[in-house]
Amino acid sequence: MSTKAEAAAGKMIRGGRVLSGLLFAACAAPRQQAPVPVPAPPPVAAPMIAADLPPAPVQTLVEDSTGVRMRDNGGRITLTSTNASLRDLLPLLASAAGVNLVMGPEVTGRVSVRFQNVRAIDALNAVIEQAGLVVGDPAAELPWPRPVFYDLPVNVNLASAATIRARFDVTQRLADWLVKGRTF
Amino acid sequence: MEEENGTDSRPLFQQALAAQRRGDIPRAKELYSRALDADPRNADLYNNIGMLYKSTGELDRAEEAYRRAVSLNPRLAAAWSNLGVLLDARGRRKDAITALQQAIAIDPSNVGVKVNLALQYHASGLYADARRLLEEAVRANPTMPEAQYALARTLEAQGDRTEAIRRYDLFLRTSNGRFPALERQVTQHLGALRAEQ
Repeated sequence: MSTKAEAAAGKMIRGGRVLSGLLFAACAAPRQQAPVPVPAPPPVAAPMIAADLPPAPVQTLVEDSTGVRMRDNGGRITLTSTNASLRDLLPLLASAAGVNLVMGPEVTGRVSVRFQNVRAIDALNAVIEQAGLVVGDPAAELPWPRPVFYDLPVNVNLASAATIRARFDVTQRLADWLVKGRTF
Repeated sequence: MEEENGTDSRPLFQQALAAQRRGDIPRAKELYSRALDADPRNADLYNNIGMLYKSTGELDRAEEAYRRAVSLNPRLAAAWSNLGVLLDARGRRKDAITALQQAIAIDPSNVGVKVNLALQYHASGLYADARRLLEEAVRANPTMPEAQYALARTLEAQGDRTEAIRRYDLFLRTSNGRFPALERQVTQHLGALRAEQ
């Protein structure tokens, strides 16, 4: 702020010099009417603009992200979990069991489990059973393939502006900016 | 959270977390290190260690820790968000936005993530996008001072001085001395804004 105030003061001084020059010229030409002195503008304290205020990002400590702690011992796991989200627990178990897993949006809920040195695939099946879920090929139950819509991950470094806009619900301007700003 | 030899790392984790919260950085580092020995695949540990390193200016180590956290648990939105904040501090805004987009895709209701992403939009001059996110954030959590403050800055940048003053006031009311230096700056700034009205 002091720098801006000094700059404002500097302008006033320069303005004063210009005014002196005009007065001198008036004296040298007596036939002309002396100009009316213009009062100097009152000094204005330079306001602190918002850009001077620093950003304050939020940083987050994590105490227990999933309620799930698992030890993987060559495909056998030890795990105790209280009220864990199925959407967190199932991918963990699937990963430990080495199987691929696709969850529909209807998979919700929480379970409590305790496994001691059991095969990961057995634990996965136990959780699926406890949660009342079914693993299978849904298309087999129908005479035609079931249409499936997955909310696939979008790589913002490769996606088009339209895709970014639709997926992340941002403005067209932001989506264009992300695409145009690519440097690769 | 049991180790091969039967050691449970949870008490160490809790002690480390308590040390970190009271600002005892050396003690927190020591306890986290011991907890990691017992539970080397715990993403939460790496996230908190990343915050420790960031607080001591060890940015390479902080980034390594956050990246380890998200590789161990790709759904840990807090770690993606913290990584985004760190990358921005390192001058890598596009990488920061990518990380924060990951965080919000995982946890769209996370208020902290919304604030951090909005800060990136604000810094890029995308005030309308920043404002939209921040208004969602203060609706979800009106007592989060960072959200009120970020919204005030964005409103002011958009020229809505009256609403900005109201949000700066809400920041001061909700911060409760948590940001002493920033609170002094905002108080001074509010004085200047009100003098101009």
